[in-house]
Amino acid sequence: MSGLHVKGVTVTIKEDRILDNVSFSLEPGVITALVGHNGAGKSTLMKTILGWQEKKSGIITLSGIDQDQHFISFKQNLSYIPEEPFLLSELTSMQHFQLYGQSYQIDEQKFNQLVEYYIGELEIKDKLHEFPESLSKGMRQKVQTICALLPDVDLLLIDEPFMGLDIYASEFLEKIIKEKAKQGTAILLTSHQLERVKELANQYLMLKQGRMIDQGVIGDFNVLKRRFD
Amino acid sequence: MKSHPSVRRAHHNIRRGRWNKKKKLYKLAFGLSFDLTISIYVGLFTLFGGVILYDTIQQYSGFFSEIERFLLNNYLTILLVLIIRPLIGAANRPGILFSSAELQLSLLPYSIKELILLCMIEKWKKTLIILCSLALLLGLITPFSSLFLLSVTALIFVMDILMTYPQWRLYQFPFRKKFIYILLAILIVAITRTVASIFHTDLLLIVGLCLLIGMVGIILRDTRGYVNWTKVVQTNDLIIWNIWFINKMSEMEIKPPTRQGLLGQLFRSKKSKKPFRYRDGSAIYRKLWKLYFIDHREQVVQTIGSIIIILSVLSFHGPWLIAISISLSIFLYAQMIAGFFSDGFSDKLIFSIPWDLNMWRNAFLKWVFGVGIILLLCVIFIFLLQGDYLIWIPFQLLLYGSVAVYFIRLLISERISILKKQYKKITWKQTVITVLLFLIVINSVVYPWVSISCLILVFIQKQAWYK
Repeated sequence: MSGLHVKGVTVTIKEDRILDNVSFSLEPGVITALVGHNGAGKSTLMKTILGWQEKKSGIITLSGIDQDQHFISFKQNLSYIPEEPFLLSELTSMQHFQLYGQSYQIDEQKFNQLVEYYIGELEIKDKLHEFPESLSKGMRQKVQTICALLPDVDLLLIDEPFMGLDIYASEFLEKIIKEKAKQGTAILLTSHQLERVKELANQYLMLKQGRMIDQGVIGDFNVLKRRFD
Repeated sequence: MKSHPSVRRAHHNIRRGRWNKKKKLYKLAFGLSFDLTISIYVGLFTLFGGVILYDTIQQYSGFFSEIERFLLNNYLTILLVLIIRPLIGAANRPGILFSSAELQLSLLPYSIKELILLCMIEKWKKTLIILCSLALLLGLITPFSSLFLLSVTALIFVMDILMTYPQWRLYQFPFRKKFIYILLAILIVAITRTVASIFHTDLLLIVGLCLLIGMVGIILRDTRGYVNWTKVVQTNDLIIWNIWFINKMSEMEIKPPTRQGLLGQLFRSKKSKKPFRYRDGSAIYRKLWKLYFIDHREQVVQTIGSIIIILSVLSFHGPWLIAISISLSIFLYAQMIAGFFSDGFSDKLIFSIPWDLNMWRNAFLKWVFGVGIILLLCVIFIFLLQGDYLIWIPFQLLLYGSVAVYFIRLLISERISILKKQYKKITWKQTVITVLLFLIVINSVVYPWVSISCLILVFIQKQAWYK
């Protein structure tokens, strides 16, 4: 069973239902936009897929691997680009890449090629041995993006993909997202830049107050539901 | 033409808001920790404690006169200390509480220089209030003379005013330059004080004082005026809002975003920027654990300190208490280590990557066993002091080391299962073995030959582990 399958996922924090019986599937090679108003549960859904957020009920499988049964193998198949970079202040950019390379068990030769390619395209060759606090926010975002792009995974989660990136980096990321999708990676991205997302995504999922209220092909997507309609 | 808005009023509003917020936080924290009964008890105990303290202090009036005389005879040393203290403080603290709130104000039509000045005045006001309160308290409960307290208060306050700006300037210096200045200042004080003590002359202290004043002059002459606002604001925000009592009550700790202390800066040598050898997979994990322990040094030191205290306090009350202290130490150390292991994965970035848990565990255990050796040295010291059964010490140490390794590995396996979301509990068999091992540890002090039999048991367990 390839792709991501989320079945009946409910997340509660204290008494509040943040996600309520959410179900959907992402097929390999499909770019899906996760849309919704502020506080709809988009980030919680991402966190739940990543395993940061414990779910009350439901099943999440990725390429047939159950998140609860084989959590580490599950994580081996996904990578994540957050909205705000969360780099470790004690590691340089290159050391971050190495941490990702080793964690995803990327062969050294391939790793070096990939790093060379991405740092060239994203123009951070001169920042390779710098610690995060000496980098600008955009640079940190580039480092975080490269980390997540290094492994070939079945699922790529992207929270606000173009936040903090300059126009060239945004264009490059868009190109890479399309290439990854062509290679069979399922991509789930959240963004408030709806026009841009419409051009990039094939499918959409719409959340409202923690419930999945709509999904389908991006061509059918008209308007974002307001929080209190 | 529009008149300028009042900086003083805007800053006052900020301070009032900060005060109100802190008041609210303290109220919440006190509400959590004190109810009426506890408050009455604490009040009564404080009162009794105060009376006992007062009575005790009165009995030592001669001792206080001695201190007063000593400080008056060594006023030059006090002066040196009062100069060097803010210089050393500049390693971590700007000395003026210019926070993000003030920086925000400076983006509005308010002068940044005036804001800094207001922050300085605010600091001096606070220092004066604290010093006067302290002097008043000491005047009431100790036999120190009023004139002595007044002069010391005045001296500290004047030096605080004079050294505020040099500390601020020195804080802005690049790391290496700042480090050299601080090192020089320490050397000047250490050398002049030592030589002055040897030759019984104050002349050298005056020379030291002149050198320090000269150094302050050089610091102030640096007129480039560069201020690292991000660093200043981050540090000051942390100083303002990182309140120990509230952190403890809310069980939330505010952590500094980056390490900026001298230790942290030194730690960031050129070597630390070098990439790891990619094929040596464990290097990166060893570094990450090292950084984790540095970040959590307070808890690490607290736990190791508690274990050493347990070992030293209980070890002079007969062999059975030595045995209990050793068992307790192994138990506490293993529990602490297991807690650190789980916590090491709580960072967002670390959590988001797939873990090679064997690598993570092995890199972690290298540090753990390193610290464990220090604790074993303490045990050796205790046994040597006891002087009994010296021939058995190597076997006993091997036993304690092996039991500790077994128990730590057992607890870490349990934590690993939680990380994997598999939640494997420790089995009854493992529990029985652990209890048995601890019983043998307890008996091994009084009956040291027991330690040999246990080595076999541990060996069997080791085989089982590797299978």
